[in-house]
Amino acid sequence: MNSLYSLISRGFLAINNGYKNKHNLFLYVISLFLHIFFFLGLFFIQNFNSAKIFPQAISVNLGSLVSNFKEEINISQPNSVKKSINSPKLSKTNKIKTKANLQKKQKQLKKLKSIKKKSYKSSNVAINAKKKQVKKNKTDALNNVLARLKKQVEKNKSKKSSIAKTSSNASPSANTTYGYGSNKTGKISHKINLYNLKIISQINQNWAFNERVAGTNKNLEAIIGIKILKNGQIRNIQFEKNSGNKYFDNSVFKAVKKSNPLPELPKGYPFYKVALRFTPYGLK
Amino acid sequence: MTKRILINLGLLFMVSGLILITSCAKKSIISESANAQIVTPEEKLLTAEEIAKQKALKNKQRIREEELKQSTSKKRFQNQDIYFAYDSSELMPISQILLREKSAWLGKNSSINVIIEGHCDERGTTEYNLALGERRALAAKNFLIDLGISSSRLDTISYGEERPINTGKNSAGWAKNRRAHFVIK
Amino acid sequence: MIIFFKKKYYIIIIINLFILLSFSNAFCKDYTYININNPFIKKIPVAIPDFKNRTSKEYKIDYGEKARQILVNGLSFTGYIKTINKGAYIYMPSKTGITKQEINFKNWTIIGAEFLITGVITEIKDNIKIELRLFDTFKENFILGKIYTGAKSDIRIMVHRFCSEISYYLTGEKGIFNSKLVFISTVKKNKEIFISDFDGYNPKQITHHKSITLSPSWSSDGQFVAYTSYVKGNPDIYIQNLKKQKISRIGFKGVNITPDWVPNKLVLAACLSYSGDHEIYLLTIKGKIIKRITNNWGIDISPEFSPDGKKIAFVSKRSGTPQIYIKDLDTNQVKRITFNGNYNTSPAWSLDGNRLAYIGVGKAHNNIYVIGTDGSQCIQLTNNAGNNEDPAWSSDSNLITFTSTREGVSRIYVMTASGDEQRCLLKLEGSQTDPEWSLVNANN
Repeated sequence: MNSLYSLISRGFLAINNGYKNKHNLFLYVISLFLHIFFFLGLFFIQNFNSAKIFPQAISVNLGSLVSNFKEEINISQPNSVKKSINSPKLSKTNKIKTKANLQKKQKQLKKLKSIKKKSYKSSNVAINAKKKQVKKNKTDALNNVLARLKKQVEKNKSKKSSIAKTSSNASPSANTTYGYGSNKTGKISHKINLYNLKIISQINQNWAFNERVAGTNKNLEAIIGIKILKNGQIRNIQFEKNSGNKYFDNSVFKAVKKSNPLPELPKGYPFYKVALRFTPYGLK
Repeated sequence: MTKRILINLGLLFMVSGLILITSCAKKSIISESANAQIVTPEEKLLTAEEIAKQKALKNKQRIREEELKQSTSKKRFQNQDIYFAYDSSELMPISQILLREKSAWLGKNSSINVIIEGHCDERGTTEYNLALGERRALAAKNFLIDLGISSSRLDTISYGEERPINTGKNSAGWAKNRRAHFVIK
Repeated sequence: MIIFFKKKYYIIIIINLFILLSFSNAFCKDYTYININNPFIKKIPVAIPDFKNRTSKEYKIDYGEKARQILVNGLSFTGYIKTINKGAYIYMPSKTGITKQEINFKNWTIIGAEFLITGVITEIKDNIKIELRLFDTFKENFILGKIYTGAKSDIRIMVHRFCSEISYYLTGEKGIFNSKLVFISTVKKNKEIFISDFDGYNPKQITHHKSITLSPSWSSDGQFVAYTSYVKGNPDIYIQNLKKQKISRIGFKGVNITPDWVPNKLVLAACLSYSGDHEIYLLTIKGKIIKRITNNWGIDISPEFSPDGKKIAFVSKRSGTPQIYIKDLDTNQVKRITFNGNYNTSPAWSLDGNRLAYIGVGKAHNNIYVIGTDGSQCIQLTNNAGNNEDPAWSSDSNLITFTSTREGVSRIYVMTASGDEQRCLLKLEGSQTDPEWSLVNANN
């Protein structure tokens, strides 16, 4: 530390002395560079941690569980829409339209610009037909999905209007992009939330605790830090906090031991560090 | 108009009819609470009158008949229990009438000493019912003392829920077990 | 040279700082905190594999299995130990070894056992030698071991001693294994007093009054049982010396009922009605009145001393319905405890002093409740099956015994203090009521 100060002071000295010493200037530039590097490093480390798919604080409650299921349901919805779209009438019209398109395509293969325009129109017609079809199904869920589908198709249109495509191809591609694309960021946190719920359930089920033996169930809290490997193996079990009650501490330690191995980590997690805060409040 | 009058009349009949029905029901409850072998209140009043008549016609009545009456009234004294409400040791009006009758009999048979047993139904708890049973016996005893019977002739004992007379586990059975019973020493 | 050195030094420092910071970061912020607060298993899972039998000859009675059964059944009376079913075991050490070196603890942790008990039986003529060992399967260590030798007929006593040792290791209390159970059973339409082991084994009739006998109560030293009986026509209190077979009587005019001993003294409280009012009095063992404890018109009954003897719980009708009150014997302050329902009786004070069990009389059923002595945390333990009465605590406050008519005839049941695992304790001819466990040191 002393040397650091001396270096800095020397740098200032160098300025005061009117750049007398080239070596000192060189040193000063290097120090500046290193400082920038250092602080940038610090900055990235912070970012790295939060971006490292380790959510800082996860509130695990039933709400998140429900939202999880909702997401999954949403993801599966487009499929059902596809099915409804493939109802006889629609498929007929679609087939007819595609045939017409193909014929047009074959006829006007050489004139690319006109093909673009016409296929665009035909895709519009197909979407309209779809709209009508889905309007007939008055269930709310489907309407919601339709709304999303519309948006998605519109997005698709605006993004990919330049690319020539037949109408029959346009809508499924829209569906697939919806299914995977828009949800990606949310899914990761849900995955780990779901995983947390699995851990809680598994450890609770292995946790044997009797308040009569503990002598009390009040103000007991122990925190155990664990590292979960990709395959669910628990490593590095260590007490972050003791409750002071020998029996309670033993019981939670055994609960963790018994829960080994935990379920496999979700994809994309090399390992996962968790602090388990044990309190017997669930007991009445 | 006539229709209205008719409806009113009809209602009047129905209401009075209802009143009659309910009053009848009450009476039937009273007679139910007493044992089948035991006479209803009206009859009791009659027997009291008969006793009065007998007194007036003393000379004409034979001693045998009198003894016969004595034995029946003795049986009646022993068998006619008085009943209580749930978790209560208060004397009901009907019980007071019965106790007056018993005091009259005790007054005539001054040589007889009596044990009053207090009983409870099986509801409630064994220990508490021991006390409640005694309260019931004491309530009857104190009423008789107030009517002029010497306390030295009256003893009490509580059996709580230990000696039910009716094993029915319903309100009718329990009602018959909540009783003060009179035993001649 | 100097500059170069310093430059190098500078870089090293920065790199060091960099590493240090990143590490501290990792330690502080990597953890996700998860709350776990609902232990699924309420009892300690213990594995008790078959006992090894070292008897050389062929044996007629399998004392190993007998001892194991006694151990399993005995531990269930702790209220906090659950023996894992034998079918789940993947390994039987009775075939090989039973000491620490010979046990592979992974075989037991994998089935969830937190403790392991092994046993060895050796029969020597009429005597029997039992070796018992307790292990912690997760810490993989030997906790305690005992060798008992005695007559074959004393096998229950020997195994129950070991139950006491386990109980003491886990809770610091010896449990109820030395305790005796007193209860009332009908004998030819009369009610007589019986005494059995804590678990209902070896019942023996100790009164032959051929009368109604009620409300037995142990003295703290287990030498005396006080009860109410109608032997002489009136409900009087009798005090029976169990060792000397002597009986004395307290018989005032009126009822003499619901005796309860002052802890660690040969003094008792009881309800007497000689004054014409049911009040609670303090009496000497010879029946002399020391003082009147309650003074209130209306029924005051069922006294129950706190374990320290400083307070007394009782039932009073002073508010119009029978309710439970506690009187502080030092300050003479009386506090009503129960407010739910309009008929609450028979308080029983837990031996840790914190709770009262009592009977709540309902329209259709009588149920057993537990309430804090400050009137808080009232819990219903029995659930509208028949009438449930006469609650009494085990000396370690883990269990409650009571009577129930849930199967028709009144029988004695046992459950944990939280109302779990309600089961019938014993089935004799006739009906049984009024159970009460003696304190630990009874008859020792």
